Amino acid sequence: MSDATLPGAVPVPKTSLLAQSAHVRRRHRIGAALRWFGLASITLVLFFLGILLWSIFSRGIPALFQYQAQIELHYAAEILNPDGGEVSPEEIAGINLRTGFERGIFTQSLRSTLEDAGIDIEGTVEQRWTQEALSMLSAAGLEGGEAAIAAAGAPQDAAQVLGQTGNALRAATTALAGDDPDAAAEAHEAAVEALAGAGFDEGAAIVAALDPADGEAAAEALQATGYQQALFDAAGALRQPAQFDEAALSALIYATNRRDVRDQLVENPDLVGTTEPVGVPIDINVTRYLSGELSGEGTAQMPPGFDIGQLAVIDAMDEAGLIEFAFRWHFFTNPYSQSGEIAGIGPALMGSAYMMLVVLVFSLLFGVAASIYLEEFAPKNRFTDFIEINIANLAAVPSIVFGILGAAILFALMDLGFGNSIRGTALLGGLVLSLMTLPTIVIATRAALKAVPPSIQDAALGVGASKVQMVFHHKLPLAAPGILTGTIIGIAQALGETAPLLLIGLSVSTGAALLSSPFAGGLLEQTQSMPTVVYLFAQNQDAPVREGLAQSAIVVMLLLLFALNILAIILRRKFERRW
Amino acid sequence: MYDLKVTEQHVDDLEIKMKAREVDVFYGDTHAIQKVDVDILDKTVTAFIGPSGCGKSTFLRCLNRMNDTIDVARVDGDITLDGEDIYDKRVDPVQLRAKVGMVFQKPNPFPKSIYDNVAYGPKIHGLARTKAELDEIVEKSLRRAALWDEAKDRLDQPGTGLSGGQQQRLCIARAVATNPEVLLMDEPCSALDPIATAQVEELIDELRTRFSVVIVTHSMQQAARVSQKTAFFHLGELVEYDDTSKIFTNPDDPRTESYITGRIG
Repeated sequence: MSDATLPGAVPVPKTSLLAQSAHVRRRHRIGAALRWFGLASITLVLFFLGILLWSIFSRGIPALFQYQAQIELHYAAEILNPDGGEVSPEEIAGINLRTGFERGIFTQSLRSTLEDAGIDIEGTVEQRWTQEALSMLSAAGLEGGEAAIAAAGAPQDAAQVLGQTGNALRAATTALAGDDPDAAAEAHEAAVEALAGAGFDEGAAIVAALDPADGEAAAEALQATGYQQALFDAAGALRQPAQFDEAALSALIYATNRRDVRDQLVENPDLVGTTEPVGVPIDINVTRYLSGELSGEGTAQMPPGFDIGQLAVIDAMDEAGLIEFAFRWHFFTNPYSQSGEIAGIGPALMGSAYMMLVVLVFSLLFGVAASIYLEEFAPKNRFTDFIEINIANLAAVPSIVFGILGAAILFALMDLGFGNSIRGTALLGGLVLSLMTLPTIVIATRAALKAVPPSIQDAALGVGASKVQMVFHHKLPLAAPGILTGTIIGIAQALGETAPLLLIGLSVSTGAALLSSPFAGGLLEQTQSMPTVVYLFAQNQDAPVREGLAQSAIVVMLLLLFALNILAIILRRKFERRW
Repeated sequence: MYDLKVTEQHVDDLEIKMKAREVDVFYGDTHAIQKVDVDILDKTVTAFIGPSGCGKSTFLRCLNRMNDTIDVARVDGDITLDGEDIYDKRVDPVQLRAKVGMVFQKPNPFPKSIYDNVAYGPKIHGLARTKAELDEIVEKSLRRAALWDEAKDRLDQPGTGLSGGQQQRLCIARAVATNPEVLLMDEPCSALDPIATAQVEELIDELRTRFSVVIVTHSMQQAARVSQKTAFFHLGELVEYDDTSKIFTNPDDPRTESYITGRIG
């Protein structure tokens, strides 16, 4: 007997199934709104992720390629020993890298390679500047400069003629503005003659039409033609080819492996006098011209530190097929350098790998041990509660705090007599990162152990397994996928951590071992790490390094992280068990 | 209730395997079991019946110290196995559980192969020195659990891939593989269909020839079918403990009668 049958029960009003009630409509509205909100959030996130990836990959991938000049590198004995005679290895070792190799061997080889390709370097430079001078003149309305320059012969002489004409115009302007009408008329005459003499007939006619009697007006009109400035500018341009020297040629390429070349010659002096083809990187600022990023027109579009004469040589080389767009293999082996042409992430990759190894060993070992103890063996009391809360807190501590701790330990060790050599070592970096990763692994491991069904524990204990056997034979294998996932996520996090590593000196790129060999390694060598090298690239003075190589390094780092995550997924799939 | 078929009993001459005297169990402040006295006979099936929450499973778990794994549980009183106090400080629960095996309510095979499931106990207790010996134990245990014919061709396949009834028989095989003297079963058929239940019950009856079996069950019919002795628990108390035929036909206590006739519980 239930209350429904009691007398006085309120009858339920009849409703149709075919019509939605107000309540149901409201529920549907809320459901639809939530669904749209979720979709919108995901779209927004994907949009920003797309922008991020696009900006990194669109800059980072091209920066992995490099323009290289294909040069027949000739180890000329006369450069290595200007006095003639035998060149001993000791002497080679003593030769200055900059003057002897960069300016010497490399630049001379570049010159001879260009000449062999039929490029007249000086002629090209001259031609380009002459053209520039002519365009300056014609921009001011002074046509007919070709004849004057051709008549003068060498650009130097043409510059002289144009300079004198400019001087005559300047004198005329000054005289016309002055008080002496005779002098004004004379100077006006001289200016017209100078212009006509230099072959600017049209300009001469315009100047001649000015009335010297109305001095002020004539002076202003003469000024307004802009002839004087154009003539001086053109003269300046024509003087430029004479400035083109070995340094200007040398600046076009970056003698990347000059140290290797010297070492090679010291080791094998028989190479002196021989020739071998090599690809030498073009200066990183010039590459922006080659890639079309800078047009080379006007100061703002000029690669900093270069002029149009040098660009003309580059154009000629490009036309002759001496410039190749090649993959920057050395990016993965070279150490970081201020010079973007040779900078690489070799030690950083190795350093990061070493540190990951340290993190894996320490944080996995201690993390899993701590988790098993806390989860399975620790008595449940206030003390273990306190430890648990603090492990969770540790996971939330900003990484820079761990860096400060690492730095404090580092300085204490340095004071104890370990000296500067332990600064920035992979072991130190790895230990700091381990400390950071430990809570992540502890939390993941405990969650994975908790997720193992209690029936498995019962089964193991019921058949007579000890607690240790129960944990190691049954719970741990079942928790392994979760532990692996947590570990890989923790390691990926550690791989990307910058702040603590900066504090313990991993951004210092002056380790001698680092420079002599890119894979100088071992846990106790000074090293770099991927995030710190990205930081260094992003701080570089050259825009192509800041905006290109930094992104390339990020691309490598992202690919590593993707690889780690895919590994995590594969391992999880492989070891996942169902019950 | 008189239509139940009750197995004939000849148990008076059997010796006592386990003896419980004045057993109290506390979960924190809750007094779950009060002053229980039970004698478990050798080569006998003893059934614990009673309504949910009456403490029959709790008491069962005292018999092989599985309650040790629960931090807040506390057991008072004496429980002996062959005259030895199983709660003595010198007793290692691991050795006890090898002698007093357990089968749980839900089939819980390890997520390993059928072979490894059965071989695990003998391995950790060092019962087999060679692979051949281990093979023999596995086969014998699977035969005892009436699973050999079904499983012999798929010993390397995961135990979790078996059907529910097969899984439960695998768990029984796993429990008997360590040569226990007492086998505790905590509602072993509650997750099984009637056919699988019938197979397990038949198996229990066969196991009686070698072991002392203690079974907790919700089904009075099952208790009547498989057991020779029955203990009725109510609200943490042992109300009545006697031959199964007596409990089901002529109980002393009115509460027992109410329960078996369906008026309480």
